[in-house]
Amino acid sequence: MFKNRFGWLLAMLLLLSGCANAIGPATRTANVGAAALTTAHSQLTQSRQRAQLAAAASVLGDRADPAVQAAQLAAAAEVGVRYRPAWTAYSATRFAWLRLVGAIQLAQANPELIDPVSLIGFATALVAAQADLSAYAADAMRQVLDWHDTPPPAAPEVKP
Amino acid sequence: MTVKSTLALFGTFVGIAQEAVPALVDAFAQKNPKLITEDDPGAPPEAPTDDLDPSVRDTILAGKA
Repeated sequence: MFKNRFGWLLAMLLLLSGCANAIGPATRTANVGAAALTTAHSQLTQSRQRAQLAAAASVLGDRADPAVQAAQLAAAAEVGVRYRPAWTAYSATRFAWLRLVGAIQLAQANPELIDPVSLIGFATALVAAQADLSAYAADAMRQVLDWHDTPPPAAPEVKP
Repeated sequence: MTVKSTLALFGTFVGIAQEAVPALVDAFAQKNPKLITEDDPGAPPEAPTDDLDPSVRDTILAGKA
């Protein structure tokens, strides 16, 4: 419901901005999307790093022992798996952004072929994908928080 | 809607506004904005392909995790 409302709001904003020159509003939407994606990439990367370091730290034993290090790598990788859906949503959003950028570049190169409806459609798809990305990123971070409350058996104590 | 969920929703909107409003203001302040493309420095990077962050792997293998 949220993304539909948001998409409609964006479409109305673009329409109110003037379909006669759809390139400007579409460019603004694409640039805001690029900034939001860059922020999302940074936040997801930092969150995953922190969670993986915490998982590695939860493994007990001598840090120089290869067996302990292997257990730490396994624990950290398990955290990484929980971020996969968020990264998949990020890639889908980035693809929607690339599609919008491509449509804008095509319209800039061929002003006689400008199709405002397509530009609005691509812009709305980008906003919808961003809403999905927000949901998946929040879910990944919530899962990791829950996981810290109840440590899984993947972080065993390794004895030499 | 409970007070707690109302506050959570309000906090979410404040958080989004803090991130998004400056970018929106910048974007709409420009009359003819330059399109950020894949080759520009401001373009969003690709998603990582490895489940394990490389810096975390290095930290673990250095015995510092």
